[in-house]
Amino acid sequence: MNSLMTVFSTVVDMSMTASYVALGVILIRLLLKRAPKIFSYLLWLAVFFRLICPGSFTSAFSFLNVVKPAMQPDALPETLVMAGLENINYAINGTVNSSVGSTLPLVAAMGVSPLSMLMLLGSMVWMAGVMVLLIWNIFSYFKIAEKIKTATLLDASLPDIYETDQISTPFVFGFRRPRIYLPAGISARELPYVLAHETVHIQRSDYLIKPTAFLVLIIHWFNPLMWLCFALMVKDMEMSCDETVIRNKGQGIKADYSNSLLALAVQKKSFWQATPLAFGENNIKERIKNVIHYRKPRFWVGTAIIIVIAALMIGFIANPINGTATGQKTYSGYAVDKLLANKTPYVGNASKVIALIDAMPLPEGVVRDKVELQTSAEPYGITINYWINNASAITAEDGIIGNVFYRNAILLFALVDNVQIINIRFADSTGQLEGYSWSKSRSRIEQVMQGDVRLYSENTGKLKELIDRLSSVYASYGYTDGNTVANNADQVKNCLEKIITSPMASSNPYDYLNAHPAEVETIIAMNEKALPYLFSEFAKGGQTGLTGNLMEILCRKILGSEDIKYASTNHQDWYDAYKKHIQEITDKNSLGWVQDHYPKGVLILGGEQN
Amino acid sequence: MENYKLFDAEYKFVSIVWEKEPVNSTELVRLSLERLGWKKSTTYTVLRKLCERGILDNADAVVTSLVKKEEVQKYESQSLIEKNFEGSLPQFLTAFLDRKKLTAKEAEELKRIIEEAMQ
Repeated sequence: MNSLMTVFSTVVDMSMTASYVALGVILIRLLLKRAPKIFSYLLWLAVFFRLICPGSFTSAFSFLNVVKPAMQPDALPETLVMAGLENINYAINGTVNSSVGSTLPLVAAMGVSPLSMLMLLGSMVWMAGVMVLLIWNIFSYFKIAEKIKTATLLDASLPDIYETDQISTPFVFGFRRPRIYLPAGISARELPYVLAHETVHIQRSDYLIKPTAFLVLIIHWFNPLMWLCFALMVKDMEMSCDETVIRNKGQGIKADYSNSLLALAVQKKSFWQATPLAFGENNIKERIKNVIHYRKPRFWVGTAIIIVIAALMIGFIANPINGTATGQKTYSGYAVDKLLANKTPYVGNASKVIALIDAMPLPEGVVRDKVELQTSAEPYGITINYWINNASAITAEDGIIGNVFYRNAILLFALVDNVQIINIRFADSTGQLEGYSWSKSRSRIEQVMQGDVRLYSENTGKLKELIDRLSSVYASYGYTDGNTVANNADQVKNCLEKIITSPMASSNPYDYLNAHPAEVETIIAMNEKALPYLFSEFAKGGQTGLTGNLMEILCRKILGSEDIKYASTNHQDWYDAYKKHIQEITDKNSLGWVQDHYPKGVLILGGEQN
Repeated sequence: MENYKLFDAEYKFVSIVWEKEPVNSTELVRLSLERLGWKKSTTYTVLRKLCERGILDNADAVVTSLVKKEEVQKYESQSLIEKNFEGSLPQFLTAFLDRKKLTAKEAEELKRIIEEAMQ
């Protein structure tokens, strides 16, 4: 059931986006009234693309940039669908947990949420509609196939042109080998024009395009605008086909061709009778007028139109770029509209999750790399890999593992309902920061934010409120509070180097520590921020000397109650034992749990991930 | 004299039989493919139906006709009606109007548009 609803919500999403593009195309069509109809026909490709592709490439030159902010309520239907999905998800989970059984969740869901009930009903009605239309059309197809079975060759020397008295209008039929079928006894005056017209249809593969378009229409049957689009597309197809005939045969045939149209293309349901919309007289009238007014455009006019059409197509197909670069409205660097539009109940909705990540600001010199989604089992997680291009990012105020990423993670928790853990990993070209990473669990964030952050994703106002709150939220543990990892590491390293210089005579580590109270104080005051460096030194192995001894003492002091009872023999063994301990409790519980209970100790895992 | 009504395709098929009878059914399949573009199965289906109606006879794979050409009439198809109006647009339009529910005004307008373009 859930997968049906996911498919349905994707279809609804595509339908919404396609509707904007369709309105654009209809508008442009009006402007192109005098231009050859092939251009209008081509434009429908953009709508077609939007109807079948959930995602697209991004470009600053996107039509949706213009339309979407202007039409605020756009997020509403999507949100409605999503909210329904979410409720069902919860409802079903709830019932399964209380072990009611596998047949009852649906009933329970009905009782739980009217919205989810509506959503479920919606997707079922949709599927039923698709089925009915599909079956009806397959049936019609075979009915026509049966009708034209006894059609006879018009002329034994012309292959693939048949006539039969079972039909009243000429059409092309067949997929693999399209054939022209004519009503029997067509007059010799009209025959050449009819054949010319149908031949153009075959040459342009219209006999495949139309059924394909119709199939897509069946999927989007609930969208009345798409029925209109289909009707207009077929009209453009026929008109541009007429124009091609005139172009091939010369302006002189216009009058005769028009008369033939009157005589034969009367109720042109060209390809197969089951075409959902029969165009009556108006269509013929328009077609005749179009034929009579058709002029082959001058070369430069044609070229200009081609360029404009190509640009329009890119504009219609491209998705808007996120963030400030496009001039799209942002709030403290966050593209709020985009964030709300891509709000999703599921980590599994990759396109939305990625859209969310990309709608958030990043420090300069940092680019997003691969995003991994853990959706197979709980905890559901998002792992974002960042690539650091520019060393200046390291010294930037919001250092690489600083607040920006922390705030972005909180927003992700607010906008992706079922994400339980977010992991951030960094890689850079210098290798300096290789392997730095951290994880945040939802429970931890709820602790920090004192509540469920998802409540902030209801509307624009609330989301802005959250963003305001975030500006005063700092990475509360983790590596930095404005300083960078590198700075912290350097600081600890410098202090340690000083401590180790004197008194050279002693082998008792406490003599060294006592001789450098300021340095020791600095490291202890850094608290957990000193740990990544110390752990990373241990991770290199072989810390059995004085440095190891000092580091063990400092680590254990900082860890305090999180430390284990362990008598070390060579210092490195303490590190190994402690790491093993943290790993074991992580495996036994969850990373989130360990983060909550061992906020310092968990850092020991960080240094080795990449 | 009985009057047999045939569809266009049936008429063409029977015409082959009249021309070639008595004709072997295999030969008939070959001729139908060549002249009508029919598959073997279509030929046999039509042959069987015409035999059932007593128009043709198929005995030991030899096909003969049971009716004469004069006894047979084609069904009048819509396009046949159109054929009768050949060359006469106003008349044609009248027929056209009856079936297609195009208003007289619209038809006149279309006619005028085409005539203007012819000049």
